[in-house]
Formats: sequence, structure tokens, C-alpha cells
Amino acid sequence: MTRSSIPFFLAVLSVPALAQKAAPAPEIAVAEREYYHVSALPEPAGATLEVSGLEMMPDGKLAVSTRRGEIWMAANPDNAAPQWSRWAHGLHEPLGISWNDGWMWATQRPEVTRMKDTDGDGKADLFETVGGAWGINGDYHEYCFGSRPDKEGAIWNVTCLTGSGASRSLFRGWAVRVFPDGRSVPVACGIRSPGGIGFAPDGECFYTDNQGPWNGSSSLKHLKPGSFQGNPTGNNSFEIAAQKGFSTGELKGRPVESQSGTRIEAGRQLIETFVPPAVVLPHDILGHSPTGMCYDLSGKFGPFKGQLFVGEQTFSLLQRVFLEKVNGVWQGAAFHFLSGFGSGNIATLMTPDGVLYTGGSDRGWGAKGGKPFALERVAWSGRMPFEIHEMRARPDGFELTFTKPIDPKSAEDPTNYIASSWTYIYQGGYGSPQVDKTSVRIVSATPGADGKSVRLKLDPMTKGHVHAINATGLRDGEGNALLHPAGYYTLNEIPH
Amino acid sequence: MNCCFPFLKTKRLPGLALLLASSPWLNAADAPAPDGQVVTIKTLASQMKYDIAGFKVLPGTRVRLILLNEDEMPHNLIITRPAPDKGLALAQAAWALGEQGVARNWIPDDPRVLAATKMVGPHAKEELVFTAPAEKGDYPYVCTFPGHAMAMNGVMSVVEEGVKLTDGKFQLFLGSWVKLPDFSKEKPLREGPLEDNLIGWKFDDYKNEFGIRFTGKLEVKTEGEHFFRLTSDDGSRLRIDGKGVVGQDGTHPANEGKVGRAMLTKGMHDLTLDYFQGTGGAGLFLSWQGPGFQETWLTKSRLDSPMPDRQQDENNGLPLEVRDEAVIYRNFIEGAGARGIAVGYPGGVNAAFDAELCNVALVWRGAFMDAKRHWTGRGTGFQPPLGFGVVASGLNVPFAVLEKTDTPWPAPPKDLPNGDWPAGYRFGGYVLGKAGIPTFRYTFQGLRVEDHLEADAASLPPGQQGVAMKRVLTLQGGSVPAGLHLRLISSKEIKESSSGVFALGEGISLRVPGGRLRPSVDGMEVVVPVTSASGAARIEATYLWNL
Repeated sequence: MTRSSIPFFLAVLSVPALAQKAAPAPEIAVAEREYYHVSALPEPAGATLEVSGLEMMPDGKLAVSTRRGEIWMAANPDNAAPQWSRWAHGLHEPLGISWNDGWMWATQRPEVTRMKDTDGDGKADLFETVGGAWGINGDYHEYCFGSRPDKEGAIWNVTCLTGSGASRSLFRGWAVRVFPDGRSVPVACGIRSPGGIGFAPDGECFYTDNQGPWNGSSSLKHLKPGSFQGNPTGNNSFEIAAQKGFSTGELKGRPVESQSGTRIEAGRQLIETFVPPAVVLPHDILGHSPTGMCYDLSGKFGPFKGQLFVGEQTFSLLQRVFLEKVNGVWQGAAFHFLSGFGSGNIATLMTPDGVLYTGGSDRGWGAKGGKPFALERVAWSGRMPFEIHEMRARPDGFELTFTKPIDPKSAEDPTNYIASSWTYIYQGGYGSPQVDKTSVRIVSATPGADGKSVRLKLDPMTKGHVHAINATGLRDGEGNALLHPAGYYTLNEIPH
Repeated sequence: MNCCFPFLKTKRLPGLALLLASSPWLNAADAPAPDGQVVTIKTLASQMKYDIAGFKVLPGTRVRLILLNEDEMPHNLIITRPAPDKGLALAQAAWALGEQGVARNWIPDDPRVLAATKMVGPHAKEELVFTAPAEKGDYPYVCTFPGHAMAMNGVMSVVEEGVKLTDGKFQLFLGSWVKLPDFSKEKPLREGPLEDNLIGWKFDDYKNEFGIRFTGKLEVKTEGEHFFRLTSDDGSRLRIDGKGVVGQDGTHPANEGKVGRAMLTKGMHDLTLDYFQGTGGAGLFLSWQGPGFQETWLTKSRLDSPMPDRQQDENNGLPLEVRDEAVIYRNFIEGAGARGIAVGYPGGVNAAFDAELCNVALVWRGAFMDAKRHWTGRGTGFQPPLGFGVVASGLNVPFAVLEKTDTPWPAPPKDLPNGDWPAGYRFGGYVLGKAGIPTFRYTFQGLRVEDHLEADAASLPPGQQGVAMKRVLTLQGGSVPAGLHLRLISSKEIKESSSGVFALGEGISLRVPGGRLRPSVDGMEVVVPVTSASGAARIEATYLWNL
């Protein structure tokens, strides 16, 4: 099927669905599959493969950890019938595995563990506790997501608050770096309910935090060492740590008390260490529950080299995030990327060859995919989707670049873009509606000399707002519309 | 419902020129009420439990009780006269039979026995037919095989039948429906009082394409939760006081019934039952059950099966099966903390290690763990062992230096969980050996400690039936401080039965050469001195469960 035939095909199929809003309708998944092939891996017989972590082994096997505490190995994972074997079991809901220095590292709920198969029988037999100085007391919400090792071999861990909004034990709602020598060093506080953690290509650590108290919307956040991430619930750990003689690591003191009912922008003014969400993943528009992230540097995964692909559990999706640093603060844009996954995506992995694996489960919260668990492989078909490539903030607007040459006539017409902006209430109550909604005028649209970009001047540009630009009327050189015409940019800072 | 299921048992009924879709739990439609009640009780494999906590019967009913033994051990079931002790006294009378016990199926010659099965072997079945007492009350049932009664018991409640409908009326409608219509907008063909206040669907000769609205009043004698079981062929819906309680709309055969519940106050309540029949098979079954009364049929037709019991679901979780390799379950374990690591060992024994206190917290026999709590839904809270004969060591650290023989054991560390191990301890993980059996590792004041448990049939005294688990602790890598002791258990009641052998409870003992019994804050505790020979210390202990 050619790209140009799709709109007609979709129009025929989807008439009743057209009036519905928000979540990508299933037909978008059909269009997306022309550019990205998604195939389900057959699960090991009898296993409940609620994927919670993924890693590519040096021998080409795909390691898959599960919420039920197993680690499975799939030999020939790209094959239609991979050969499965169980490598480990009995772990406490590991959420993050990685292979480093001859060990498999896993973040379990209570600790970071490293494992090894010392006798070569294909099963781990040595389980060493590395460390993990955080409290845990039996609540389901006490999840702990672990990163891959950083340059020093340390694993970054983000702990969910005990219960959705309380913290009764040490360093819940914190990020704790666990070094191979067993040291635990807290690096950030103010976390609510993470769904995944990872690094951007330059080595900076990011995590996703879910909508809830003090999180008006879910977002991708930058774990700047010493930072407060916005949720004050876990700040009582400063006192607990002082009483018990624990170091608060990179955190130099308890942040000033947050003011409920304000805005994040106001919180930043009040609280010195407050790092605002780098990229808001607008609730209901892009998803409900963002999770793990990965990026491609090989270029074999298509045109989005260096950008983040972020899992989404409730909507069974992958999102795409473009990041830039403006005035020393990370921010950027989020876009729909791929939809229609089988279950609720939790873990994502990009192989050095540019193949993305993702999987998860719908247990506890439900997912649109409908299956209780799934593991899927995503590969670029080689065809170029027409997408917004990058969305960069400028002092008076945005510069959009595209994956394909654009039609200059459609690009220079300001009426071919719809812009708006809004923010969320920064509050102790659960979530927030979109507030301070502002209609934004496209003052001008100037196509770039490269034929693949457009410079938009906007009025107004509002610091702290999510700016949505929907390039509905833009066409590529062949007259096709964008596959996903909208970008959502979080304007923490306006470039000078 | 215009179809039948050839794979199910079907019955040709006199006077009906059609096949009724009838499954094994369905009694023939409109047959007279059966003279009796069938109750099936299963034993759960390796859990020392019956699958239901109780059942209800009518006074004087003939009861056919089927005991399905799905366990590897033999069990019986004896129903006793009402007693508040869950039948334990009777079970003790059975144990007193001693050597005669086996020959007499562990049934004592005792006036408290109302009915008893013989011993039922593994995976065997036994039927018991008896007449329920005329007197209302709670009659415990129990397995009297020695050691089983504490966990294997339940209650047969002899309860009255509930009241039937009063002021029952019907309205008959004709129409071709695939779903229930709003009968209030339809014109009835005819209406009138219900014969005997019993709901029945046969009026005139209509077999197809009709509908009926039944109304009446139900008297609730005790306020509380009431259950209504409804099924029909084809659709039906029940409302109490105008509120929907349970329904099965659309065209379909009858099944085991859907159960709806309603909180009802004392007094009269309005019942409205709508029913329609398309074509083919027809049927309507409605019962209710509430505080102090047994499931009572409001329809002329009734089902044989008992009302689905929620207890059954609770007892049937996701048991983790242990075969010839150890199974590890690291999770929130009741009695072993939020950093609990449970191990099911081949050979029918289990342990749970508390990775915060660095100590064995629990040992038990039989079934390992039920993973349902943590592996379905969000999974909050602590899960206790699934098996039986649970021994809790008393949550505390394993080692202490005792300057004198009466120096008290230090109080457990406070404020756990605190993100760290108790002073001097650091948990190190575990290494898997033969059959995937873990050896736990931790450090204590610079010493490397290994703690290993496994089933050890050879530890059983000759001729004794039961299971045994051996525990070996080693300390290496430094000098053992003078006066160092290991505490194996602290609990309410421990008796030293012979030197180094301690009775921990009914049929459970601990053997520790050199072990010493002394008072503790909990009651009593068993400690053993740790002495170093050639730079390493080694302590051996054995847990024994008789029978």
C-alpha cells in the first residue's frame, strides 16, 4: 500500500470513529505500521511474561525480566520462534535489568542485586545484594525502577512513594544511586510515582513520573543531582535520615515547603532546587502512564537518532521525545510515535542494531491493548514517515524540522497551523485539569532554505506553558499530511 | 433458547417434546424437590485444609457428603455435636486411640460423633450419607488423623429454610423478544396470584415467545447481607425494592446461576422478577440466602449445586508448586518482613528468610506459598505461608554476645524497615547449589556467615513418620567473639524433652546439640553457644515435624 492511498482507505474504514477524540484511534496504528513493523514475540510456554525489564546479552540473547520475578532468555529473538529458557526466578518484582561487567544487574523492590551463572548451566546461581538504602514496608505502591549502569557502573533507582501519596519510610519518592561497591547515594527528591528511568545520549538521567498529587500531568523529568522534582511528600526523609545518621547524598537540605494551588513556574521561584518537568506528556492526549525509555544512535531505527522513545502503559503506546537544553534547563517536545501495542508497555530496549523491544502488562491498572502481557519487536521498515523531526524553542516561537521535504506553499501559510498553550495546577490534590489556556496566534511561518524546516513566530510565548502546535495543513512534497501532526513543547525557559 | 448442547448430559422430560439444555448441576426442570442435599468437600494438596470453611443444611435433610481427597496424605471427616472448640476435643479423643487408630480409621467410640467417613487415601473419594440433626446449630467437622485437626476443620450449620414469597402474583405477556422488554409498557394477556407462592414459568400451554413479570413480598427477619441466585432460559432480571440485584438477559441456556447481593433491613421488601422465553428450552431458577437461613428456592424448580461460596475462591489461589528443584519467592511475607525470601524445598519443607534481620524467620511443612495476593492485581500486603506446622523464630537478629548465661537477648532493632541492616549486619544475597537450594550469605561484625537449610529425611528418628529440615550455619573469616550465641527461636511455649531436643508445639521439635533453653521476653528461647574450631564455627540444628 502506498502512503497516498491511506487517507482514502482510512476514510472508508473509520467513519464512525471520526467523531471520537484524544487517544489515537486504531486506524492510526495501521498507518504507522507502514513505517514501523511491530511483531509479537511468542512467549515461553506456560509463562506469565509480564515484561518488566529488557536487556540484550553479549551472545545475542534477549533477556526479559518479569513482574513475577523471573528472567527469561530468548535465543534468536528476531526469529519467528525464539528458543526460551529460564535464567533466574524468585526476584521481587524487578523493574530494570542490565548486563555489565560480567553480571546481570537488577533493581528489585528492596535492593539492587547482581547475578551470575558461575557454572555455565544456563541458570544464574549467584545472587549478590549490592545495596539499596531505602525503606520498604509491604505496600504495593513501593515500586522501584532501576536504570542501566552509568559511566561509573552505578545504577540509578527511583522509588515510588509508599501508597500513592504517603511516605512512611526512608527515601521513598527519592532517586538513589547505588554504586558497585555497595554505597547508596541519594541524588534527588520530590518524586511521586515513577514508571521508568534511563539516560539521554549525553549521559543525563531522566525518569517518567505519573499524574497524581503534585503532578498535574505525567511527564519526563530530569534527575539533576541535588534536585527537588516537585512532590514534597517524601521530604520527611530529611528528618528520618538525620535521626538515623543517613547521608542525604547530593541533597543539601530540605526544600522550602511547596505551595499547593500554584503553578510549577511559581514553585521554581520559591524552591531553589526545583527542576521542572523537562517534557510534559499531556494527560489524556499522549497517555496516562509513561514508563521506560530508550534511544537509537545507529540510525537504523529511522530518522530519530538521539531522540527518546518512551513507553506508555495505559494507552499501550510509544511516545517520542525531542530534548534540548535552554538556559541550562532541559525541555523539549513530545509526539505520538506508535500505537496499538498488545498490552501496557513498561520496559523498552533499543539494540545496537536499531531494533526496539518493548513489553509489559496491564496488571493493576489496565491497558488499552487488552492482553494481560506482551512482548513486541519494533523495526523500521526503511520507508520514511512524514513527521515533525525536531521542535526547538526560539525567542519568539519555534523552529520545526521535518523528516521529508515539505511543500513550501503549505508551509508558509500560517492558517495551516493551530497553536495553543496551557499549564497545570501545582497542587497536593490528584492531577489537574489544563488551566490558563491561551490561544496562540501564528504570526508568521517561514520555510527554511533547506526545504525541510519552518520557522514559526508565535504570540504569545508563555514561560511554563505546554505549547501545542498542530500542523494540520502542512504537506510534504507529494501532498501528504503529517503522520502525527501535533507536537507538545514544554516551555520551561524561553531562549534569550 | 433454540439449541442444545450434545456434549452435556441431556434429559428428555415427560410432557415436553424438546430437549432441555441440562448440565450436570441442573436438576430436571420442575421435578419435585430432591429429598436431600449434596455437599462436596475437597482437601487441598499439601495445605492441611478443606476447601470450604463450612456449609449449610436444613434440619432433618438427608445429606450426601462427598469427600474428595486431593492431598498426598490420608484424611477423614467427622461431624461432631455442637462444640465451641472446632472439634478439637473429639480429635484428641481420636488421637488417644494410639495404635488402634489406624484400624479404626481414627474414629473414636464417642457420643459426640454424628457421622464419619473412614480414612480416605490420597486422591481417593468417599461418600457419607446421613440425616442432618433436627436441632439448629453449628456442628463442627474435623479431620481426626493425628495432628490435622487444628487446621482441618469447618462447620456444618443446620439452619432453617428462609421464608418463601408472600402475596406472589404474575402477569403473563405474549411476544417475541431477544431481550427483556419493559413489561410495564406491555399489556398482560392475563394475571393472577401465584399458586403456593412459588414462581413457575408454565402457564397454559405456552412454550415459546412469552414473558412473565412476577411480583411479591419477601420478609427479612434479620438485617444483613442477602444473596440471590438467579439463572434462566432465556433472560431474567431481579429487582428488590426497585433496585436491580442480579440478571441474565438475552437468550441463553440456564447455568449454575449468577449471585447478586443486597443489604436488606428487617421487614417486608418488594420483589420483581422479569422473565422471558424465546424458543426452545425454558427454565427459571431463583433462590435466596441470608443471615440464619439456608439457601431457599423461590421457584418451583431448583438447582442441586450449592450456592457458590466465596470462601472457595479464597482457598484456591496460585499455589507455587515445589517439585525436585527449590522454588524461591521473594516478596512481602507475613512473619518474614518486606524483604522476605521464601524457599520451598524439595521434600515438603519450607523456610522464609528475613533479609533485613539476616535471620530465618519461619519454617513450615506442606504447601509452599500462595502467590495470588502478589501476582494478581496490584498485590499489596503480606502473604503468610500456605502450608502448616509453621514455626516462627521470633523476629530478631541471629547473633548476640551473652556475657553471662542469664544475660537477656538484646531487644530487636527498632524502626525497621529503615533502609539499612541492623548494626553489624549486612545481607549479601544467596548462592544456589544442588537442586537450586540457596545458601544465604551475610556478614556479621566482619565474619562471613552462611545459613543453609534443606529437607533431611535421614534426620528423622528411626521408625518415625514425618519430615525433617536441617539447618547449618557457618561463620568464617575472622575470630568469633567470646560469648557469641545463636538464637534459634523465641516463643511462648518451648519445652526441653531431652538434652538438646526442644518441643516447639504439637508434633514439632527442634534438635540442637549444645542448645540451651532459657526464659525470654516472649516466654522461652533456645540459644546455642558459637565456638570457633580452626577459625571457623559451625552450628547444626534440625526441625522435625512428626506424622
